[in-house]
Amino acid sequence: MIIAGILVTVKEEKKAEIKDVLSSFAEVTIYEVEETDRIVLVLEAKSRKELKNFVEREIASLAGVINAAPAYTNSELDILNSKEDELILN
Amino acid sequence: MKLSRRDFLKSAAAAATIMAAGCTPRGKRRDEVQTVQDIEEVDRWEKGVCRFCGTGCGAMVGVKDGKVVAVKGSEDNPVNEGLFCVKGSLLPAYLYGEDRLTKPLIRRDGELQEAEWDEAMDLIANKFEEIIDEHGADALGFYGSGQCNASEAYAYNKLYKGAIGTNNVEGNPRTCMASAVGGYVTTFGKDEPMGIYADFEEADVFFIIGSNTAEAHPVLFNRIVKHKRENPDVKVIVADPRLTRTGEIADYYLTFKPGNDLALMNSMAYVIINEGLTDEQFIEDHTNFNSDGEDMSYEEFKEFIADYAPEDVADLVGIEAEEIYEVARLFADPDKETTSLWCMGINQRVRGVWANNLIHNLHLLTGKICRPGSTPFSLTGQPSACGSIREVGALSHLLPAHRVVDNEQHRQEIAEIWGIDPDRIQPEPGLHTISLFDATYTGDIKALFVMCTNPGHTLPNLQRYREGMERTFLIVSDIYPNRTTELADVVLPAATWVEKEGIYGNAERRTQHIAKAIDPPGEAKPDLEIVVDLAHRLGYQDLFPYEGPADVWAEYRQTTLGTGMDLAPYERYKQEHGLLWPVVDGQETKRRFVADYDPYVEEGVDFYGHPDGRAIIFARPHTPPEEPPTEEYPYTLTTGRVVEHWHTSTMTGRIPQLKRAFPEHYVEVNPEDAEKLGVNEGDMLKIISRRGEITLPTKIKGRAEPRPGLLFVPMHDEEKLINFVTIDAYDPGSKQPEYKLCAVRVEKA
Ligand code: SF4
Repeated sequence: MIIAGILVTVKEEKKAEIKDVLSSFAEVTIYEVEETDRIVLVLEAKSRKELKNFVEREIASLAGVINAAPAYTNSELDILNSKEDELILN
Repeated sequence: MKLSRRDFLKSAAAAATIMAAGCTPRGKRRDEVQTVQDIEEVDRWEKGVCRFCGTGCGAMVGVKDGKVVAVKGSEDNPVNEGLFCVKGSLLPAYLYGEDRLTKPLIRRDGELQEAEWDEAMDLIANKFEEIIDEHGADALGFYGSGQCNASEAYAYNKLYKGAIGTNNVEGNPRTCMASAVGGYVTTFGKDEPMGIYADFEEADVFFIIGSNTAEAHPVLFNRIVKHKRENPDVKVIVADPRLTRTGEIADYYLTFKPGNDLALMNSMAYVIINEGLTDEQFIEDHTNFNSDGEDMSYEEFKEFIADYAPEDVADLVGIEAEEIYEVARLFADPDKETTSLWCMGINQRVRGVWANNLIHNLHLLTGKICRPGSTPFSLTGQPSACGSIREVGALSHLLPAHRVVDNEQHRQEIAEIWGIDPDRIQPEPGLHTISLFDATYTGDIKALFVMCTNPGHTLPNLQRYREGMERTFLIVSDIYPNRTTELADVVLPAATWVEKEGIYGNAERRTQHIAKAIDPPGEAKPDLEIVVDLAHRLGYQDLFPYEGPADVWAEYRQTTLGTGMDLAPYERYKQEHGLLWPVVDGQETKRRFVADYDPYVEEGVDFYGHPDGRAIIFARPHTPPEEPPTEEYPYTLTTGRVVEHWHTSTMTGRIPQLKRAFPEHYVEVNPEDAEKLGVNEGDMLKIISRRGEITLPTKIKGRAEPRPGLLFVPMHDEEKLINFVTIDAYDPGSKQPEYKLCAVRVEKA
């Protein structure tokens, strides 16, 4: 399991439409930001293929998308076989 | 707030991305993101550089329980400003393949068996001494890598050239960018680009030739895509015999006949001159003309170029004359800034240096150089081909800081810093890559040390050189078993990337530090320790007193001061996200050869690599490939990269996700050719050259499409080695082999 944070730069007038499309994917979580030309999403990908296909096919091909780039990936659940313990954050 | 580990990591991913993008979170997950922003999901972050291409993206490496588990783009690194490509984003996984080499191995009774370090190093040192006694120092060779860090390359270069006394030091950059070096040095008198990546955001026109930037340098491609989408007037010309993903943003796509790019660029120069699109003042003030080593006049150059009218070369080049006119006019438009990018398609040619010269010609004729947005810029394939090989001087004709062995003053300068008699450095270049491996076959090279590279997979016309490597005493230092370790007599387990500290130099003259983040596995060691250990066992303790990479850097830096390639003290690189050389008075240099940027220039433009400060416009005639198609071998084969893999896939092949994404190599065939051959998608096709053959499944409508008559095979497969088929003819100047073109025939298998 790879957890990837991806920045999508879009044309402002298309942001709502693009966000709607991306939110319809079960493996995607959208994190709202103030900026009107950016969408931040987190993708839970089973494989690199999923990550790659998602960035190239599902995101980059959408009308109004200027750019899509991973900014962060975490492979801890694979590399350390970490258990999904519950965390109390505050 | 309660979160599962997985949800916490998701919020951390979002927080890191939001921070990289400089965004402000809002909405229902804002609290979650803000809360996790202050909680580290890892034990610590260390600063590094991605090692999967020459772009040099800054990487922050997250360590937990002694393992690298996360990676994020460095927000304050100007190369990638916090963003990655998918290959870079999976960096951690390559460290943890199950078959990492963790113990030295020695071949006994035909089998590689585990050994102790002392035993392995004594064996190597004794063998070296025996060979030197019996056959002389020139019976030894070294083959390094643009993935070694600068201190490692400096140390092995010094060991061979300054201590052992042979210039037989080569490295895989000979096979990828030697022609770019030749182009810069002949045209400007100094190696490496004048421009930087930031020129991309200033450019109005991109001329991309012989580079599939989209797959080979994805972050740079994204910068171009973003710039073009934000500025719709920006135009992109892509020239490549294969229609690739890079073409997705092209306004003009020139799928010229392979091997005819020199004619294409001369024809563009013809249009530029004949339509008065030249910058006459720039030409007069800053250039000379030359043909075959002889000075020529501008008028004589015009006579030379008169043979390249678009109408006269259109058939040869395989594109319409009108297209040549259009792209030449666009390139030379006086109101636009033009950046040219190229890579292996230009360099891996028997006239790669000339092809490089012709790109520079276009910039010099139009004066589109040394100003924001206008520059010729060669892309490099490896993370430190520039920083560790070109700059350190780790090829058989070079010495540190762009010096050459056949210059007495250069030898003296280096000998003084190395603390040796200048006569200890041989005045003649050593064997270049193809001749070095040929000498393993002929028996002239008795022992070869291969570090961090895989020539048993990558050399062209591979059969002969694999046999050579089997004949010689072969030492390989690497991280995984590969097609070279299988031929070795001794295999040394190496540390890699953030398992050691070091410095890389990328394609834009940016020198960057990589911190050590974790320990290497088992008994693996940094290559610098291996080289210093060998030097000591050979009796050169006095020349190798280094405690670590910083000591080596301090000595190396001395070689650079005052050369125009001045580097900064080691500590600066530890603190900053890279500095563009020359670094003079603590300041980096964004643009070379021009006043107000370059501290070596007082006024205007000064190509100070040549004594008169002028760059050279070369008359370089069209030259066909070494092996044009014939009746018997009617197709042209070219090889290259795909985005999922890098080099010989010894690293990317260990990342299960990448392996799954691109499990099988193929031969890309144009649909017209497929019909002629009667093959469908997936049918097995045998590709036969004068040297060897390989059978691969046919790909007809894949990610790219070669023009009719051209076949493309990715170069990464460890099992089916395409280099049994490729040709080892090389450029007479740069000695870089012509991987990009050879004649083949095909049969349905
Ligand atoms: S573009 Fe190159 S250096 Fe940057 S993340 Fe991708 S592979 Fe790494």
